[in-house]
Amino acid sequence: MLNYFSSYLVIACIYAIMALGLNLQWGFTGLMNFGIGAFYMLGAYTSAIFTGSPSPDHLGGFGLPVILGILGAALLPGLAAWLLSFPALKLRGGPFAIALLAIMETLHLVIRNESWLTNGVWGIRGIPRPLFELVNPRAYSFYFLIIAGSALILTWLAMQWAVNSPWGRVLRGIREDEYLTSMSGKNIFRYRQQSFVLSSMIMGVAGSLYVHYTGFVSPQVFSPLMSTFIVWLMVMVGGTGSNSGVVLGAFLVWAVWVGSDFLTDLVPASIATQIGFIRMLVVGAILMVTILTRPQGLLSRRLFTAEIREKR
Amino acid sequence: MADLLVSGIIYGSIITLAAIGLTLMSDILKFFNFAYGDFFSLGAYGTLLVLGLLPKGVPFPGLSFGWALILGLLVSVVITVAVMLLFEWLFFRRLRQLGVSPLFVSIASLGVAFVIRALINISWGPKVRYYSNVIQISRELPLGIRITSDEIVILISALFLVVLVYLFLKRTRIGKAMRAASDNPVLAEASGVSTRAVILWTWSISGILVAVAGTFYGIEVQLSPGMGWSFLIPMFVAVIMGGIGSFWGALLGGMTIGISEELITGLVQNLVNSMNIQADISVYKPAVAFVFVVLILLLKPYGIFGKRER
Amino acid sequence: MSILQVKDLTAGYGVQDVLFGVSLSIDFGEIVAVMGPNGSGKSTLLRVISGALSGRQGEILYKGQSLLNSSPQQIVQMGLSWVPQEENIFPSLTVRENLEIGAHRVKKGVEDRIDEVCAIFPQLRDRMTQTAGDLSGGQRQMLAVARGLMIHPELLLLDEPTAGLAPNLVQIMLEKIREIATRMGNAVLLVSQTIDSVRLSNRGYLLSAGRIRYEDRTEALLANREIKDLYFGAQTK
Repeated sequence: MLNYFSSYLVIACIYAIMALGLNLQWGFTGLMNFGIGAFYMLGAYTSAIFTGSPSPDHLGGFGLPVILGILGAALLPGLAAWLLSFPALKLRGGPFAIALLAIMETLHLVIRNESWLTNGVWGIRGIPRPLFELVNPRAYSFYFLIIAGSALILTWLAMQWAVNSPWGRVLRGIREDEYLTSMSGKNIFRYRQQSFVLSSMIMGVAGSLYVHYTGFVSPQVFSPLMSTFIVWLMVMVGGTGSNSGVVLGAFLVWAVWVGSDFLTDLVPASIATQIGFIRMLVVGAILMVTILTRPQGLLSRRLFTAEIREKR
Repeated sequence: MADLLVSGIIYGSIITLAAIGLTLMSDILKFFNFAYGDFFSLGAYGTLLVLGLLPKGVPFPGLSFGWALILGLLVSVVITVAVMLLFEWLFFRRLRQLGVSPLFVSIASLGVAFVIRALINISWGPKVRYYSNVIQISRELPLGIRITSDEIVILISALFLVVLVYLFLKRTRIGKAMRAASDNPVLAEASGVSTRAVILWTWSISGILVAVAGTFYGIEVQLSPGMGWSFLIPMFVAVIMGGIGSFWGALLGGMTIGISEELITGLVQNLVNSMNIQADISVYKPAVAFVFVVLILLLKPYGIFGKRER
Repeated sequence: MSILQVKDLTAGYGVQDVLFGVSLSIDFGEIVAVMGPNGSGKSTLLRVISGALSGRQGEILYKGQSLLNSSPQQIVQMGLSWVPQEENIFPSLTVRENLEIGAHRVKKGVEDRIDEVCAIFPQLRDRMTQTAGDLSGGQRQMLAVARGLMIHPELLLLDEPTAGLAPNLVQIMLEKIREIATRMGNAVLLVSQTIDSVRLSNRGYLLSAGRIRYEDRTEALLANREIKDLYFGAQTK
């Protein structure tokens, strides 16, 4: 039982890190990115390829230490984001969302099909899990929780610092009144680019943590729902623009998710198979209700409430 | 090459039908409706539903479908429009009244998308379905064009529908009112145009178009719960490329994206096959869409026939 | 009874008020000017009267009926027509379609009305099928006013009808406005910064920083040294 709980906590921490990354892009910079899963995937696969054992089926297996895996998981998505920022950041709002969605879809399909690179749908196994040999395998969740939890705390502290820093203030200025901010000589593009890249790096690290926890990666894990839209739900529920809020959102939404797992044991088999879709239904419904009743989320900075509802 | 062109034109026609509806909606309702793909699916599945309720009929000579499907399509259109109007009345209208900003309404439409997709999955399951098991053989036309009878019917119907919508917008009183509201909503109101009526007609027209498009895809290929979601990208790219609110833009954008996706991935596939490389190039279709949307917006920030700042 | 009475109107955008306790009245068939410098709230005043913007406090009575909670559609059907200064036509519609939309709520006789406005603005007659966005500045302005006339308004709200027009066109437009008022007998509330436009009216108000500072017969206002220098500066030379 306790194992379940610590496992829930680990995944919640990882999603919370993702949510903090999204909050930076969306909450503070106003980028409506529906393709964040791309960076999560890139980080995960980079780690897998860097640290996995050699295999005839796919690229990689360089057997590098985990720490390098995590580093790679931060740098590669960061690089990808940097390259993408030149064309993509010319877009706004809806078009931007669609463009990033297209990127994610493409990447997802590439990972599924390019077996020589990623072993396709069979995934990559045997990814090293830090400390695994040292501890009781049954209690692994507890020990990984220390890693995941620390990573979360670090990320949260970093985001709090970033947001309140001069850099963060410019970002908020851009979000609130871009014209005015550009008049004061700030290079708008640079700031948005930096935010986009940093955010993507954070998501890459989250992906890396995920694979180092489970020891396995495959494309099915990164469906648009599980890699992107569940994070959006967490941010919407928890609070756009609030670092603590999105972390809270992550833990809450993941709790509902895991909780529904328990329900499958209680309901008749015919419904149990549909659980995945019932979850999708619930996600959709919660998202609709949240925006209808409290679009700013549970905990949010007053600063952003004014932008959510236009004054008539 | 000719084959690719034909399938590109079919694919493009389906995208165009949906894109025309989507461009009207994005313009007049001022948000990106991400549930539009799932309304596409709903249209297709609605036809399936009615088809299942009717006695099995005889297909038209040479086609894979008969009166039953036509009836199914008409009923599905009514169902789809009704569902969309329901969401408008219960949800989107409330969001507008609360003054929720367009970005957030777009995110909210994601919620609607998931609800509809989940319901389709729960009702029909994830397995692929077909309207009929009649296999269509391609006929040979001059110039080496191979096309099935179904496809010819789809093309002609799509063209017919496009012309119908054009005449509606150009000749009817409400059509002109919609164009006026698109140009200048404030002045339209000040001229007595009912915003309510324009909004309801917009939902209805796009509902009709998307339901028909979905059914056509079901006839041409197959039905699956995620069918609409995978059309979301080309539909939106067509709208963005053509300019939000532009009828001709959606037409041009839809055909361009449809034909390009097929042609480009098809040609590269042929190239790759000839080099004996194992690779499935069709997965790169979204990438083609991405490149297009970026290219066009670099040259014309509001789309080819785009109007003004959004 | 006046056709329009504005009492103590306060209004603005979001948290920022632009009009503070504005009061004015217009009689049937009268031409009244509201003059004042840039940013004084003149356009906002017309916006609120036409229903495009909500007033925060105060009252607006049209033929004795309150306009406060009415929609722009209801207001135009009552016979009150607004011609904005900018964005006052439908650029992608043809000239004819622009006029038709102007008569959107008119059940019968739309063709006759089109003939009427073309009699006042003959330039439009030859351009019926032209896209409105392709018209020249002067033609656009004429179309904008013509659109506003299609409902046979009893009160016409004109926001800077001569703004941006070449001098010879200014005179033509002013003549047209006088012609309209004479022919159709409607009242006009004219908002302007230019003396020429203001001279069309018999009576006027001076709006400055959101408040009415002066009210008088037009000639008296224009004769007032202080007003002339302060608000019309360069024009009076």
